[in-house]
Amino acid sequence: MISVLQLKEIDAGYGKIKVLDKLNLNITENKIYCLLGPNGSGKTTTFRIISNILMPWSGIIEMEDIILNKDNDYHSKSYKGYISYLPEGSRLYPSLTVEQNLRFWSKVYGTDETKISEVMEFLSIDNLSSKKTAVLSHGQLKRVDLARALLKDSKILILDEPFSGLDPEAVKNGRKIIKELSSYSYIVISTHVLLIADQIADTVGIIYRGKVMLEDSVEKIKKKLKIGTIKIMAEGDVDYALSALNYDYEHKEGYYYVKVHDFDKETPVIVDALTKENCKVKEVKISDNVLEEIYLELTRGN
Amino acid sequence: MRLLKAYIWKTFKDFKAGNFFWIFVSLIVILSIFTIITSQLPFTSTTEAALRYQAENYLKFEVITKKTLEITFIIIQLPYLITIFSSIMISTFVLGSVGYERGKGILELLLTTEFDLKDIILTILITSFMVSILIWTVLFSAGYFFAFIGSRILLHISFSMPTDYLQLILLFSPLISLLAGILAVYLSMFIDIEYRGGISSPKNFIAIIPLLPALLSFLYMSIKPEVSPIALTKYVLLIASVLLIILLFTVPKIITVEKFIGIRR
Repeated sequence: MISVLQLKEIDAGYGKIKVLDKLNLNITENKIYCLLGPNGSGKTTTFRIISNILMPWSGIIEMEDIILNKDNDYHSKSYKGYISYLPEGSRLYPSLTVEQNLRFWSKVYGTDETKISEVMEFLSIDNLSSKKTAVLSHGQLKRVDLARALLKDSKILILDEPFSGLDPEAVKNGRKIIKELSSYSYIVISTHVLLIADQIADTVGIIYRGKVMLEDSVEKIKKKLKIGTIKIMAEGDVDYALSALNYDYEHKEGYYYVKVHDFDKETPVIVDALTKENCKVKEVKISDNVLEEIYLELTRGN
Repeated sequence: MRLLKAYIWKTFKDFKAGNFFWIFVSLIVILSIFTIITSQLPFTSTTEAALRYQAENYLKFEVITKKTLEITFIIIQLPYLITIFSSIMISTFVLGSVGYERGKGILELLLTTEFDLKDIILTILITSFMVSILIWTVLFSAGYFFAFIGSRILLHISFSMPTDYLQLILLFSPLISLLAGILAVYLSMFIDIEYRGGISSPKNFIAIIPLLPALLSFLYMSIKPEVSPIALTKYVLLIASVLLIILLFTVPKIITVEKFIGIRR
């Protein structure tokens, strides 16, 4: 897979506090990259490095033929032109209307002002045009902020926690919008909502304590890492059988959720043990939230 | 240039949307003072004697009447009034708008564009200058329209404007207002995010700093009335130039991006 953007051995932080520690990140031609990680793991710092707001202490940033390193002081105007950044939280002027806010950024980016109406229409905020942003709801502000980011003709769109604070309907719409946007740009998002990552990401990177611990396509991660939960529906003394095998499990809504470290090896062992205990096994499948299992395993302090 | 154009456009939209209120308030204050003074003569005998002396020897009124003393009072006080008012309004505007941009992360977003720290600081500075000039001009025009033109047309009173008076109002006063603007830009660059919430509040002592050039120079003038406004203007110009050079050439090198945009983890 061809790399679109690569961070190599990046060390970065604030003052004397180191946040990113030899971080490596590779955004490939897979359209949507999702950076997962707990609070304070370095997601926003990584995005600031990618957006060229914060300069790394060391390491290399590569995009096509542009290489940013200490020699060029990590500065490149053409590099900045490729990236559009949507930080978490609104960055709008409350005393200006939606249209005026977008007009300001259009002037800053030097883009054609006709793009404002196109973007507003695309995000269904054209009806908010003359409203001051001070009176908008959280969801509406998110859309206007996204419109601002889309005004810049960029190759990579960085979205920091785009779904935070949104209701389920807005999340659903947001997911649809991001999918649509991925036909025009490479999308890099961070989120805490693992289900969303599982649903929309082509590639997932799990960041913990300033390092990307794992980075691959969702499918490959699921195959590569065999840790997770097996979901079993069975009748009989299932509790006895699982306890005898010393498995950590949970029984809810008719299913037994058994935590395993290797699906391939452990699933037949568990089924055998259940059969020996005269349990009637009706259904065995890998739990849907595999990504969550992997994420928790990787970020559980090791 | 593109950033500057966008910034000026935004600032005047913002100015029109919210801060125009301040100009309106100032006009009302000036008009109120004018009305109160011209309706009655609330001076003590000492003040009246001083005004009579200034009306005869300084402004050279042809005939000294009760009205000419009122006009003298207004004319003498206006440069101080305009300078103090414009310094307050300029610092409020600059501290409020730049403080907001830092606090909300708008400056952080500007750094994702092709412009660097120096471009952004220069843009903020030029915009603050334009705002300063606009505020000063509005206050100057309003004040003198009523005091000077009004007195001649409505009251048919004529008087002369001495050279040092013209120097005071046309050179010293706008320069002090610009200096207030520069100091406000400095403060908005360096004050930490923790203090920024209250930066535009009149209760915040930090907001007094841009007013200091006006307050201190008027204090000095009161102690030493013989000092020429031109001599003072030279000092103000020198201080403003040094501050500008530091702001444009040293600050972008010493201020870190983290500090400038108020990044906190």
